[in-house]
Amino acid sequence: MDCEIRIGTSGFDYPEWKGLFYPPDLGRKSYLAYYAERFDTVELNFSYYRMPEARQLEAFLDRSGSGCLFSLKANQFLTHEIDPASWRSSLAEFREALRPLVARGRLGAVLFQFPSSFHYEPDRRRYLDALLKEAVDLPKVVEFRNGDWYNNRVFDALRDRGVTLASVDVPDIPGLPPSVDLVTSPLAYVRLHGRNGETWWGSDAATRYDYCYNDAELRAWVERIEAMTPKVSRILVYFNNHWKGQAPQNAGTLKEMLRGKELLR
Amino acid sequence: MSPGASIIHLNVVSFMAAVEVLRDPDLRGLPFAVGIPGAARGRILDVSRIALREGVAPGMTIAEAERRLPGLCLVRPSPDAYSRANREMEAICARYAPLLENSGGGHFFLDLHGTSRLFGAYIDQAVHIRREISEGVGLDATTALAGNKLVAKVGTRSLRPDGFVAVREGDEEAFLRHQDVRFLPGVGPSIGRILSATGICEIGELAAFSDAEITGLFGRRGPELRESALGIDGSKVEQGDLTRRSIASRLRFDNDVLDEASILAALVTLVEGCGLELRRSRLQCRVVAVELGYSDNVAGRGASRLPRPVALDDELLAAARMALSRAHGRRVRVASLALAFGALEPASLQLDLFVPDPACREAFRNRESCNGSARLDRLQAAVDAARERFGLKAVTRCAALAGEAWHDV
Repeated sequence: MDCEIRIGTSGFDYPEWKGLFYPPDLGRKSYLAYYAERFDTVELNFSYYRMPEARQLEAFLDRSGSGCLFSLKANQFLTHEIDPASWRSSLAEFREALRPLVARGRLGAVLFQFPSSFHYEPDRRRYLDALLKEAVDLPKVVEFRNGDWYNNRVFDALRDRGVTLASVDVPDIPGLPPSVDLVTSPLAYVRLHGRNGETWWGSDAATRYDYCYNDAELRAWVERIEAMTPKVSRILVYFNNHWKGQAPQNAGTLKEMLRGKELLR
Repeated sequence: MSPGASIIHLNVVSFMAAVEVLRDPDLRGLPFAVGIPGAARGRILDVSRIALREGVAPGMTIAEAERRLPGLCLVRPSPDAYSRANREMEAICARYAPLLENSGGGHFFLDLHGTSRLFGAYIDQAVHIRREISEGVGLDATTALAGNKLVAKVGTRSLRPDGFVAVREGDEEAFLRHQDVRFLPGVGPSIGRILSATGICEIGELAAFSDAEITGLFGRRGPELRESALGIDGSKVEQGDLTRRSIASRLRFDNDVLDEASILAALVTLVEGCGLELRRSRLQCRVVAVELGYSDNVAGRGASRLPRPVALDDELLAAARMALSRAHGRRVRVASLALAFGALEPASLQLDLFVPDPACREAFRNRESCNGSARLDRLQAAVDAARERFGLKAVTRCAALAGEAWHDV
């Protein structure tokens, strides 16, 4: 199977990247165009905090050339603040916003990232089942921060439903979910959060993701990505260690490494 | 990954079928099984993933498999190719792991402890070894990294048929909690029946039992089972072949046999195969055991205990024939034959300090084994070299060529 690999970052609109990734004189409105010239995919996280709108994503499409794929983190009302009475309407609203991306073939995936408080319990399992069924038409990725979900029943269920299990890179501290590479659909999805164990708990998002991967760590990821290539048709890789522009720096290095192995054009 | 989580379990799922795909890429994506076509009592040895999905499973009779999946493609087993693939995997693992346990059939445990300064983080090494096996041997090994063998083994079982997992040290119990209880090493058919009757599905349910409850359910094995369910396992990665308990092999006749020549031919083949493995592992043995499986499912067993350890085919065969004569006491057709070399110890030139044997003294002066004449040693070495290069059957005794056909199991 020919496998397409795309590398990007989690978010692009970081003013602190100015002078590090973006040129010092580049206006914020030009960030996406500049980004899309260097990376062919981006994971949008703002959609977790506020419900995205079609017109907003349409504008992103217009500013990002013709080839950049967008993956969106599902809204918090679908993963963290779940209201049994209203989650279906939240999903409908979210799906409606994605319409321009779907129409132009630019939707990478929808990431459902569940918090550590989302336990492996009957109610939660029923909810997840219903959610995945309701979102059947979307390319779906799940990431669990609670390790209880990493068991064979969940693996089999994701395979049966063709839902991707995100492979994540996190610090080596107890309590975080195990690192798993498991192909459960034709799409593989990798999120690299950094390995800063000291700031992972109890700090703000910026310092939590303050980490720069070294070449040896990235080379190991080249091998993990390479191992997935015969089994999937697309691999999306996102660096979330955005602090101090480390994410685009690492993403660029990984691209070069993959090019060196002729895995990336 | 914390420094302690350094145990890797590698498992090539459906190993024989995977090797057959390497030998014949046209089999990829086809429902096929490994077994002896046309054998009256033939059983399925391994199956491809698609055949497994269609309800064909190892151990099933060929007739039953063909009933379940009409037109099932049956591939004759290739023991030499399986052995070669396993050795190639071992060679890759040995480059990284100071401690390596080869369980055969594409199963390995590695202990990487103390190698991170040399080769990098354990998680990165695990990824690299898996990738090297994929590139070098062509096999996909399900891989788990954990703090002990038990958790690593449950890890690979949970991912089947393919994948990678790294479980942090300290997270063992949490990782096991919701895994299928049948994945727990030590859960066999009898414990499985109790679990099924009591409705226990997850490993965590076992871990939650009190002493009285677990002993009441499983007897003396209960507390040990609960320790396992908690992810506690003190077993070591058994280094190489020096700590192997036995070297064994079994074959099944394509058609059950009654004549002595066929049984002897099969015995010679087993001795030559196990003997090569014994010498390759630089071991010698003191016990040779034989088990005959009769057509009526009765087993006959016999063993020879030797006064000194041996490793040459001549000596092994003499002991095996003695064991066979003790095992074979019925006039009933024989369906299978098994051979095991036990009481293994390292082959060495170590002499007895207090009672030196003159023959050994002579051999030591000539720097040759004290367990056989110099000439036999050299002959055995030449035969082994030919077998390593051209396969086990390249050089064999005439007695091995007689009689009915059989296959390894």
